[in-house]
Amino acid sequence: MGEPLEPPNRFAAVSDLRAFEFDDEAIVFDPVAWDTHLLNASAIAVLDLLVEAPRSEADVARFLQDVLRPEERANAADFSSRLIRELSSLGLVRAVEPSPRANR
Amino acid sequence: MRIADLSVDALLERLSFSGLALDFGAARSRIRSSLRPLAGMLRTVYGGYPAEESTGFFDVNIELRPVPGIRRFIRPQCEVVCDGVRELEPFPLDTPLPLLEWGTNYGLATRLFCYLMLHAGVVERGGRAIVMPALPGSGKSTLTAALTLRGFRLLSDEFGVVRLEDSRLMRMLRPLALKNESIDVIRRFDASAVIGPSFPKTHKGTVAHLAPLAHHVDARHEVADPALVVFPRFDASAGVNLEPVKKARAFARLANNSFNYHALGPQSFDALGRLVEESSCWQLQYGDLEGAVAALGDLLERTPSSETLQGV
Amino acid sequence: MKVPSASPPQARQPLLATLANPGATAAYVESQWDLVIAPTRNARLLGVLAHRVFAHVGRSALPARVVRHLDSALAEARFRRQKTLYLLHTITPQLTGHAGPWILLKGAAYIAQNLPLSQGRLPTDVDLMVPRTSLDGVEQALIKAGWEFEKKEEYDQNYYRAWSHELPPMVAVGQAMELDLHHTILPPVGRIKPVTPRLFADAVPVEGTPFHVLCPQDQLLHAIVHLVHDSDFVGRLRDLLDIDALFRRLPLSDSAQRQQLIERSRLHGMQQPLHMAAVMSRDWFDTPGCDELLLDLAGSGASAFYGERVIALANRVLGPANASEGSEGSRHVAARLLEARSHWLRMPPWLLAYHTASKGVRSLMQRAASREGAAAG
Repeated sequence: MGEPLEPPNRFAAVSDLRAFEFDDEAIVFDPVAWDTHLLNASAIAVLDLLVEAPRSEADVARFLQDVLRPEERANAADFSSRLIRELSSLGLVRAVEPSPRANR
Repeated sequence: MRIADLSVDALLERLSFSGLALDFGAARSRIRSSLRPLAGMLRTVYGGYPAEESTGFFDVNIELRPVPGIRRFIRPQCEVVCDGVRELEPFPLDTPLPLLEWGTNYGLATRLFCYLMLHAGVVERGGRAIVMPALPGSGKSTLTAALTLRGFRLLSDEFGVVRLEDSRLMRMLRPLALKNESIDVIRRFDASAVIGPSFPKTHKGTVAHLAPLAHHVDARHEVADPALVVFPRFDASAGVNLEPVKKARAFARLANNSFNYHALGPQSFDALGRLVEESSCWQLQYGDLEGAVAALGDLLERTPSSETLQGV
Repeated sequence: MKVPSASPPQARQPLLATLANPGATAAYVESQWDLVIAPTRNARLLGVLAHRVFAHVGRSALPARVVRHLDSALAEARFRRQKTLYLLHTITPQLTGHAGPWILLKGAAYIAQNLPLSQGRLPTDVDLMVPRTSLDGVEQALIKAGWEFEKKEEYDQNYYRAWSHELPPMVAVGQAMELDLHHTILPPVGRIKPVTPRLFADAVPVEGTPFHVLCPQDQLLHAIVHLVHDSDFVGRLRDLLDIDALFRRLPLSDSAQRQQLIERSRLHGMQQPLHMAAVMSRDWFDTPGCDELLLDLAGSGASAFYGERVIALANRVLGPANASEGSEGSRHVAARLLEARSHWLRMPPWLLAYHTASKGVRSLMQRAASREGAAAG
């Protein structure tokens, strides 16, 4: 199989989010929509990751491998795609320009 | 001098002309009315309030008057006008006090964006507040009333008024609206409780109002620190059952059960977050009112204040 | 020579005096504020007043109780501003690919342009005008993205699409503001026919956004016809205050600006509304340049006599209602007359009869249905 023709989409957290963390859950405030959301541990973990830097779905899946329980790890790709979709629909995460190709 | 020290005639004079001033703490209202029966009712349920001058600026102006026109011979009604606007449906003419109370609550709930206004009953002891969100089936009013009759001081039965800059709880002292069976429950709970007349024909059933104690009224300008958030659930078959609630969940339930959380954006987010951080959050299932009051007292004792926790 | 007028009701004076001279509030005692805050709130102008007062007087110089209410109104205004910007941000993808310019109207325009007159405003909807040829495509894109119409009844939908300049209001989950999509600024069957291609051709881009706004003269004329021609005036003092602000922005006191404005009003056939707006703005807010404008307009086809009768009615209903005052009867009568007038202006007579008759028939049918329902229940 050859190289993929397009670099993968990356996702980043919307800027200026505010959060209160309480144990393994968080309350997050979106300063553009003025909406407030309740997030569970895996959503927070993914959001944190995407605040640090834009990542692709594959990156997020790899990250989740490390934090998921062994019996869940096979589904990491699925979880990652679902979490990114949910966070996007809440407006907390958005797709960004793909990264420039490494060999240009 | 308190309102209970005025004669009904003197009260009626104030109501008819310059208006009757009522200071709830975080806000003041001025009431005007020509309805004679209302004067006696107000003397009972607002008896502990100071008889203040009615000149100056008031947060909300309420007029309670008979509905004019042909109707007044067939089915007499009264209506409430809040700052010149008729917001609510009229009530039967013999049910003025509940309409006055609901009209005032409506006015307070819709114009004060200077505070975060939760929908909750709030009491305090030793300056430490218990916030009890008002959900259906909670029995919140009965529980709040009982607490105020057992050594807790009332901040409000309806409004958890949170100061935006520091999340302290402010007072919005109003008569407590008791419904149906609660009226007798509270009478039995404390025979000396001052309860106004019962109004059987309201859309919520029979309503009567418990007058706030005079020394609670005197404290209306004091603030309290957040300490406990308790979600009450009345269940006649239960004894007393306290379970912890996760703080993020408590935040969500408080925000969804508020009058203006969403309109205040980042300010209410910060204020509510700080309040929840400083509070211990619980669910209380109870069928035994005395037991519930005792349990909350215990819980408050056992809960260290957030200053203690931070080692301040 | 001053054109005669009917002045605003006496009861409005505290509100108007405070708006005109906010610095004087430093000396207000509480009982003076007592006459101002509630009527201003009822006129939906408390945020505007708060902005003006705080621009002249420090918070600590005002009674704390009053500051509470001024701050409350500013908080509400902030919320609506944020939600307006959020709505525009969200619908941009749905507009992409459809021919523009996409022109913001009224409050949404003032907010996007960050005009001083947008401070403290309390809009309830976002008005967006797109070319007629783009309207269907934009509508479909919005529906696909989760927007839907508030008024679903077929009659209302037909009325809007066939006769009006706008679609029925649209709402979406998570959006606090309604979206009103326009293809021109007045009903095409109405008595004034603006030159729509010029509205679009002369629109001005808003820097840093994909949106445009009407050119300054068109923006002012739109505000004017929106009040004078397309409304019944009831409780619309805030719309007249917008007009006053837009007059001052030109500025109307500059004779070249007046000439341009008059020419533009001739282009769109809006001299009569311009005349009426100048009289009312002068009478309520002492807008500089209005007397000169009225002189310049004299003999241009604007009928002063007709305007005066409408203005006298309008003055009675423009300010906020007060159910505690005794003047409700005459306000009610004036409001009925002005409502009839606004229907008359929006539609030709034969359509007016159909519209009124249909509404009558529908409401009769609804009452019959509910009687049946009550009998069966």
